[in-house]
Amino acid sequence: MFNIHVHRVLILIEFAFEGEATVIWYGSHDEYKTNFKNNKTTIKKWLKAHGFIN
Amino acid sequence: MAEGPWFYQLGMKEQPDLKRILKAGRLSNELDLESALVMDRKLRLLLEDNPEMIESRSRLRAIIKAYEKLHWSKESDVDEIRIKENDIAESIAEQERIFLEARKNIIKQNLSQFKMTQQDLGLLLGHGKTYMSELMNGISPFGMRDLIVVHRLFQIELENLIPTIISQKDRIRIKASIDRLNNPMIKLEKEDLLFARSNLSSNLWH
Repeated sequence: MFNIHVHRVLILIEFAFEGEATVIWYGSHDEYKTNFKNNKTTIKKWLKAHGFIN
Repeated sequence: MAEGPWFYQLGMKEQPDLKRILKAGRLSNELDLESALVMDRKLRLLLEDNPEMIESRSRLRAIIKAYEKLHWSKESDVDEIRIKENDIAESIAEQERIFLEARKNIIKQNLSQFKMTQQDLGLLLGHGKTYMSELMNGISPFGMRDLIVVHRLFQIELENLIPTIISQKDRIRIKASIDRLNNPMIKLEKEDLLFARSNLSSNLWH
């Protein structure tokens, strides 16, 4: 069960593709901090490394 | 290329294959689901240069949604076994994605070295532009004959061209056989089947 106090989700929303949304990452807040270090540069690197952006 | 010996080859028909999934119209297991999610990820990026793939992507997403509704919705009975099966499938699909990405990059480097385009290679292999994109990006599996031609043309080692990831079904069968063999030198790791290196001459694999 999703608990907003603990859990975090990264969602890809495609406005050009029928506005569909895809969950591309989920975890706890601590996992979010470990993975993404609270900054956009790290998120961009993660998206690139996992093939979500070129 | 992941570390470790890769001595058991995934059958060509078990590799990610968009056409097979679209033809079947459904996903059969968690590995199918994870492979389909990776394909969807790739298709999203390919649409810009290959707008004709939009219909395939829409159909693929509908198939993914149907599977998720059946097995991963609030109403479905998600137990620990399914969660574990999905964790393993996710790990296999990710290994496969990394391998296919590395293969694409090696082939592209060689094309550039020989001043060739992807379409030139398609001409040599007898494939059109869209299908070549699917092959290069691992959405459709290269046939063994294509890979041999690429190997001979560019002298790329076969282990960098042929994915050797064990399917989940085979893992289960092999694990049971290994248990029966009762040989401490051979064991099944999460990543792959590995001989216990400490018990073998290092020359065997290097």
